[in-house]
Amino acid sequence: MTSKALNKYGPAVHNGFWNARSCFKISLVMLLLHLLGFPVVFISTMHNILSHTDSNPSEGALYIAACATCLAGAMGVIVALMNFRYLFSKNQVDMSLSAPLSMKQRFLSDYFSGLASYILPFLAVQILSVILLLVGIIGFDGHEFTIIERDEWIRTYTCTIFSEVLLPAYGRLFFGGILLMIMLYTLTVIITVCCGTLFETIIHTVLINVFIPGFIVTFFMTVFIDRFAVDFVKPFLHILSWTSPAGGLIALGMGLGNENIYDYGSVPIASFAAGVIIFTAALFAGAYFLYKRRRAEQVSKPVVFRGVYAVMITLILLTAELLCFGPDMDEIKKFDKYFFGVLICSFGIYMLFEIVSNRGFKKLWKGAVRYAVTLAVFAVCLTVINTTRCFGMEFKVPSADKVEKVYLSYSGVYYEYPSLDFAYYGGDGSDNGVYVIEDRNNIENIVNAHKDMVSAYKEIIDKKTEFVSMNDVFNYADIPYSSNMFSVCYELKNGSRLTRHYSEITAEAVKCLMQVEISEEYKAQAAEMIKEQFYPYEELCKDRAAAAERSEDKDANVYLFVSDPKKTAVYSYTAEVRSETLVDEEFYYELRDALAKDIADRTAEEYFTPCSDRMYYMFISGVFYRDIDGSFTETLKVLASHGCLNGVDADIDYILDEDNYIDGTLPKLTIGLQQNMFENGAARALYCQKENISGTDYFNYYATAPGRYVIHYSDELAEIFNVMQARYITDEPCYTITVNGNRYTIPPEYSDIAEKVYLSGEDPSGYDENTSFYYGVGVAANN
Amino acid sequence: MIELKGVIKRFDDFTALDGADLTVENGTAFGLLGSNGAGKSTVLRLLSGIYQADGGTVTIDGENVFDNGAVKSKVFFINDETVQFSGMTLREMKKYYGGFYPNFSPELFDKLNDTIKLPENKKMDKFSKGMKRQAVVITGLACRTDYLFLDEAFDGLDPTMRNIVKRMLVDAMLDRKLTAVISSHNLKEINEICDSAALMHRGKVLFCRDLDSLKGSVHKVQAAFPKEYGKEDFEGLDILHFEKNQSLTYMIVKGDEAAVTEQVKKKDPVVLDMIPLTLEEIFIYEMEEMGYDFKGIE
Repeated sequence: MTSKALNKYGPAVHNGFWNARSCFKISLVMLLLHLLGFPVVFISTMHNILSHTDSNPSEGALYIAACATCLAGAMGVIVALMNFRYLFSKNQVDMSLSAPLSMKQRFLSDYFSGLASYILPFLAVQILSVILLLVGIIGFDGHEFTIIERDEWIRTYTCTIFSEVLLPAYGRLFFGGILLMIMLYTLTVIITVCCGTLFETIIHTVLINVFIPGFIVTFFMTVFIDRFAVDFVKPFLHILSWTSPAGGLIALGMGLGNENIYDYGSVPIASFAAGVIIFTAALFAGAYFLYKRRRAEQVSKPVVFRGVYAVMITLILLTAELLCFGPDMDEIKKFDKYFFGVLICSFGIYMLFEIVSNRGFKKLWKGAVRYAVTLAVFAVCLTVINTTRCFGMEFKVPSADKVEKVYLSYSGVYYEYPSLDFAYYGGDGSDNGVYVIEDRNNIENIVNAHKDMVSAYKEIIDKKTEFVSMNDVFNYADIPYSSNMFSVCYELKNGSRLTRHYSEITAEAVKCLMQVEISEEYKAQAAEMIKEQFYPYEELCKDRAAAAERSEDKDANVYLFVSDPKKTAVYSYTAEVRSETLVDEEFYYELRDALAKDIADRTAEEYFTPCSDRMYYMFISGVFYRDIDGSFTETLKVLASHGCLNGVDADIDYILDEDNYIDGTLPKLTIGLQQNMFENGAARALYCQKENISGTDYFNYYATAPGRYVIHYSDELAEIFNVMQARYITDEPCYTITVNGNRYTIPPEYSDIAEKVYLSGEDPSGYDENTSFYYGVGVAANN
Repeated sequence: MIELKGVIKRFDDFTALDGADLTVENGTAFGLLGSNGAGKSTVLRLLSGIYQADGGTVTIDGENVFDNGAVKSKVFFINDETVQFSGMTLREMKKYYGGFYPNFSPELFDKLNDTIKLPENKKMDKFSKGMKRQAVVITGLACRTDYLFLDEAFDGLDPTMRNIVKRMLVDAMLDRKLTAVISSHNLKEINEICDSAALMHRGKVLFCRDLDSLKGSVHKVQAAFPKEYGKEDFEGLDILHFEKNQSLTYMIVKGDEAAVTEQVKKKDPVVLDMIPLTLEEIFIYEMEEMGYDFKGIE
């Protein structure tokens, strides 16, 4: 009998089967590790559901699953090393290479047999996992069950974890996991082809897998992110996910999502898959190309194809240099001891790698030259990026006629609206806080605002020698600016997008954007956003009820609190100066609709000029809060009809009584003369807001006189409390008073009274900032 | 037929083969002789498709060997290492090679193993060096390839086993016209088995011819002359070695026997004997002429 029975599949297939046989034990280990993945999560979830403790898997189960799956995934390196061991093991060379296979047959046979040994255990467990998932979905999703917690109170849950949480997560991990496993395996194969010893192969595999993502993260974070106002987060995440298994894992962890302008925290599935497949295919082609050129006698040579070593050492060197110096060439120009210290250390490590890879000191001078050239080229590249401001991208503003629409996230001149930094938004697809602008006038105004910012910025940087980013330049330049966040994404007519984000904008830009704020298009969307902030009443009540069950202090009812901000600044939040009203469903939606209508209907005059007669602050059980002024006519009607303003509108007489204070909380008062003055003496309009998160308002205030602490109570002070405004506009110099950290404008017609109070104040230089000044303020009568 | 024409093979800065030319006819046993580092193993690896030549051609039956699965299926290479088989049992070796070689015969494998009686289910790392060698030889023979290359294949074998292996080889050569290329330092064995041989030194082939004509082309001349003659007095002779011991002159001369005798007789020797040389002696004297000898070693 000849060996026809043994050889019926041909030598290449026989070689593949033999490789798989050799890897059998490793495949078994991987199978067991994968079984600790999703199946453990499923078991943990089922245990919690059936024992009525929770509907989520335990944290411990998730950690076990993650670690075991990652460990199994990492074993792809071992499989690749085993299948291609004749490339670094002299003992195997003759036996493997003398076998009757062509190089192509051998490579493909070794590659695919190893891939099968690696992937099949994973696939086998996923078949089991799909079955378990279906059991969970069919058997438990949608069912209500009772959970008794430790303190023996009862909750009722509806279980949807299998279909709503685990299924999408599983799908993502399965799909992405397979692609990343193939990438890791192929990357290891190409490294094995390039190296001639086991030691070099392992070192290069580990370092390349660490430093590809390490360099990308370091490079983007130091050179691009937050430096040119350009959105680099999306391209950064894409590149990171495409070019290394570790980077791809990060993308999986952050969540593969759908293409969405707001999904900056995730990578779209299609582009993730395309990028990983293309990169892996390139690695495969490279591995085969180099394999064909690989010679048997090159086994035991440390590095056969120096390219892989060059990639590794360059990535390590540049990552280290970026971490030490950052992208700022000014740091390098300092030539101080830190600079030389870092250079000497990095040179030493570089030479050490050269000695190890060359197995000696030969041609060390070539390594020194490579080191110098690498650093020089990189320094030149960084200089070019800095000097050209990222190749002019920082200054790029599209012309309005080329813009199809604009996505705008801007909190408004009064910081009223939520704003999003497009670069960092987590990306749940919600567009709350983002306006879609299609009106041509609005687009024009947005472009003009942007152009003003860029032009002001250019003037500043022409005078600067060191690098400054557009997001930190205005605060030390003599230009009025605001700390409003401004994110804009232009969707151009040619289909491309241009996105920018700024955390400071010029005053002129604010003026342009004010025209947008008052447009019908903007107001209509603002009204809808307000409505969306009122989430369904039924869900609100459920949450309140659940909170009340957990805590005796919590009330299950929904309440509306209305207060006068001026009075509460002085008196704190007491019942005397705040109303509390029970909110039923009808009232809730009536209030919501009234607010939306007021915002949609208000005029420019109402928006931009102060309504000094009335100002309120309303708050619904921790869900919704905002200031409303006299222009909110519909809202005020609804509030009045439910008696919410009664206590709030009552007059309060102030009593000079040092012992009679309310709740122990007294206002700390600082009064000072403010004016926005410039070198040419021109005054600018002042907007004053009740709450300043960043400490600066729409315009910078320049104090023409230092602030003073108000220690003594007086009738003039009481008058100031009555007339001070949370929001005010004036071209004249005027006084402001800060009450418990909130600044109010004293209208110019009351400047003489303010001056009296100011002159009676104390110079703060004799006191530390934590000193409290207490004086008695009591409530004489409350209607 | 095996042909190497102008083959050059370099390893970094070292030239292992420098224009080597060899021809091996089918159905013959060919011996590769040479000093250490002459390039013998390199030739065998080129013929097995393990190495790729940097210059020249390496063909078997007219086809290039390297990266040619079809040609390599006609070739089995037994190298001088046995470590690569350590993880296998004999049974596994049989299956492994049986899957690669289309003419592999399990019956022949079993028959050969019946002769040497190696354990089939024991891991080969438990075998002695000689046992591993035997296992590889019977595997190579069981593959029933047209060409068998052996690199120091008899090392580690006891005398009895050597004879058994030699007989197996001869049987295979007679049975199916196996062409064997054997590299060895044991010239006695080469002399016993091979029909032709090549002598290599520093990457070059000094000669390549059948053993009978080789032996017939180098002679030991032992003569006594009435006068004193030096090496230079024998102009017409290609003398590899010239030595005088009192009245006797010993010369190792290359060339036709009759022509050499005639040339020597011109000097009227009192005594003249033409003594045949062994292959070992031919090897030593050829190497001596190339400067590869033990003179100067103390």
